[in-house]
Amino acid sequence: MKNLHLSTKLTILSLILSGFLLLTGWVGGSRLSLLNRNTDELGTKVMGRLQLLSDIQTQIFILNRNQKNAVITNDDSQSLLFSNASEAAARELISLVAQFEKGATTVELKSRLQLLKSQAENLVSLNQQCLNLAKLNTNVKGRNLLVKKIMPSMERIAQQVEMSAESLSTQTASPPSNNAAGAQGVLKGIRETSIALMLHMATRESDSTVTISDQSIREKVDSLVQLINAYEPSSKSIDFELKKLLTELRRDLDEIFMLASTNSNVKSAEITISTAKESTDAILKILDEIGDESRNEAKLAVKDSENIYFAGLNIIFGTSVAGLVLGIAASFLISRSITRPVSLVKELAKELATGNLVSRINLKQSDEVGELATATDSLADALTSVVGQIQKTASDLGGSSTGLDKIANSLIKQSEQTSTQASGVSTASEQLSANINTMSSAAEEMSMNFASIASATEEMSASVGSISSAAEQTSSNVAAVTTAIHDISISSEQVLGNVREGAHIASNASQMAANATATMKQLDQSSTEINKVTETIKMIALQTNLLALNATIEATSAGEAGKGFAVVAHEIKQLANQSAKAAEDIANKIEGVQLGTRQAVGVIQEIAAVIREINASADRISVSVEHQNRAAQTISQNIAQANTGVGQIARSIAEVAATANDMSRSIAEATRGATDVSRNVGEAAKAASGISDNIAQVSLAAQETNRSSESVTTASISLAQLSHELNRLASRFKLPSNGS
Amino acid sequence: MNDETTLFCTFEAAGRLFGIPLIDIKEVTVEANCTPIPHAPECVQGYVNIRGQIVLGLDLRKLLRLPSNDQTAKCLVIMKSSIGPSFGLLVDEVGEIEAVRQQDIPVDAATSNAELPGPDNLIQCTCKLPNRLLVVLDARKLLPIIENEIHQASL
Repeated sequence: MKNLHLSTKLTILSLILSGFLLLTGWVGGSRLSLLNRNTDELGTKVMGRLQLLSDIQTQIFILNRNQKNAVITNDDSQSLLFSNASEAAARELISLVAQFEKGATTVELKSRLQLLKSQAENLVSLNQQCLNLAKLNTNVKGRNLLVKKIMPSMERIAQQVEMSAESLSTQTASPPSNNAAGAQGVLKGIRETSIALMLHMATRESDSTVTISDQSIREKVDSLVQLINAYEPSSKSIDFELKKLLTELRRDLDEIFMLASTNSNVKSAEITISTAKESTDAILKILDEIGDESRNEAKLAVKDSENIYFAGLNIIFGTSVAGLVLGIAASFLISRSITRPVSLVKELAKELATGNLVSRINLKQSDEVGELATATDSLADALTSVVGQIQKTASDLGGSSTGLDKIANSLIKQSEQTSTQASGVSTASEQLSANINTMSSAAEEMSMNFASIASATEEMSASVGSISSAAEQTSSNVAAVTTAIHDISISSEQVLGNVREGAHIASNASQMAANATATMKQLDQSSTEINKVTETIKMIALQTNLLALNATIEATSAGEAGKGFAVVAHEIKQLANQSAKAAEDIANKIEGVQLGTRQAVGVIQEIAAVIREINASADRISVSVEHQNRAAQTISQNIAQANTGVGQIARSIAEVAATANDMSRSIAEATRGATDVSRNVGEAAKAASGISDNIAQVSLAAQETNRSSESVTTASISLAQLSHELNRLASRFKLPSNGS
Repeated sequence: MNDETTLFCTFEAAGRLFGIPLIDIKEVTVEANCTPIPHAPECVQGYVNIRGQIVLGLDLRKLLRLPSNDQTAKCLVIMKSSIGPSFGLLVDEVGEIEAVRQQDIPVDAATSNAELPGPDNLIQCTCKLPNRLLVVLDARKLLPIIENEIHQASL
């Protein structure tokens, strides 16, 4: 988690949230589809069953209606049509029941269906039976036969009987006979019987009386036939006709009786009304039971669906809550992994600004924030090394300036010594001059008092002694001057050495200033790189901001379900804004560092300028010291000359002494010697004045040295100030104790 | 007190704050390259390819006749397809999502001037925000404006 890129983290967060959104959607969808399937199944099952039940019922009703129609109708062809329809309905019923049985699942239902099937088969067989009877349609045929054949034949029989009776009456009118009377009686019987028969026939119209009157009709016809047979035909033709008619009537009547005995209509009606109705009722009852059962099943299935619905609701709610919790946890982790390092960087930058270079972030994280932390660390490292170098340089510079100051002080001391010695030399040379003057006056006195030399020999001797002592003093003075000169020479050498050392230190300082400038430039470059990094962070923050905006839009589109996600997206947006602000802060801090760096570069360049100035004054010191050296050498030469002169004086004095000792020997020699003395004294005076000149030069040079030394001191003081200032600037930064 | 709020996606063009109801917005992107359309009105910047979907980019500043500075539009606000054919508004900068209370959204027509001709009838209403005013645009009227312009140009 820690080492992933920022965009990857955000992508992971988005993936988690959208994954749970999808999961919730999928679970909801699957639950809904399960529910849908269940409802569908229930619908098709129950509806199909109810449809089948109603179909069966319809078929039964069609069957019954057609059956009844077939029974009721009188027309043969129509009856056939109805019976065919009824049979078709029966076949349909059987196939529907079979179909129903095929779809049956429970044992109970199967047993019920078995019952239904047997009842249906029973109904169908009853129907078949009923239809067969209905098709016969005997009553109608009987009636037809009655109306169409028997009635006319009866009328004709009546006519025939009437005719026979007439013929008989005519016969009886002329020769009445027993036979004729019998025949007449028979005919009367026939007539009565036929009228009674006709009445019977008329009454047969109503079916209920048919069976009752059957027997009496048959008896009446039999008796009629007997009567006819018994009748002795008088007129053969009529009787033959009558007999034929009667025979026909009998045949027809037999047929009617046969039809009446069959009595199909009544039977079929009975079957229709009783047995078939019972069967139908039983079937309807079973169907009602099955319907009730199906409704119960439907209720159970509805309860199942409710259970599935609530289970689905729980699962969806659970998944949503889990997704929300996981998303919030992930966003918390991600925000922690961004905010903590950024605040660490901010702290570090603040500390850098206050000058504390000790602390580091040391974040082991490889995303952009980790890079930022590492870059800030390296910036702190670079700052630390730079400031360390500056501090070292400043302390070096301080040391150098102290050394320079020391050297300048020793230079001043030495030049003061030189001055003292020069004044010593001056005093000595003045004394020399005075001595020489004394010598001169002595010589003049000697010269003037040569005449009284004899008397002044002792005086001269004393004078010589004083000259000798003066010469000795001169000699010792010259030696002191020589020593002083030598000392001056050594001091000059030392000054030169110190000046060279100063120049070396100055060049070192210059080099260090150049180094510091280069380091500062590097620091500037690092700052620019950090600026680039902060630009990248700002860009990332902008993109994160847009991403969060889009997430909010998506969440709003999701409606109530996306509200939680919208809150998370808002948090992300705020984080992005905070990141951008932190990056801006860092950029501002870095700008401050850059400003400080540029100021430091300016100070260092000033230091470099001061060092160059010191270098120049050191060069000037060098030149003046060389001048001084040369003057000292000239002094040395002059002193040597003076020494030679003094040596000559001493020799001359010795000679004077020798001459004074040999005074008595030759005054001329003494005179010559006095002249020599005079000459030598002139020379000595000349040398002494040269010494005086040289001493003045030495004094001048010493003064110049003193001036240069003072300027060196001033320069070294300003150098010390600069180094102090540099030190103060550098000490604003706190360095790690083990720092590089 | 009615605490019900409406969400608006706000954005800036020429330093002014505009908004469109959030439910009309599909997404917001950093502006991609526009492919110019020849002979199109000035405010039609061109086609933009958003992950394979082609969207018509309209420059809001030119559409509202606002002063155009040198700064180019940075963000693209894409409308939902329920508004009409896919199109988006090129704006200077996308701002926050503002939740405006119902009482701060004027209902009467006093602040909206739907009767006025020109670009003014794009303004649905003007809402009071804590420190500035939010001009709410009617996204459904953007495309008809351009169609009208094309129609007038063809006359």
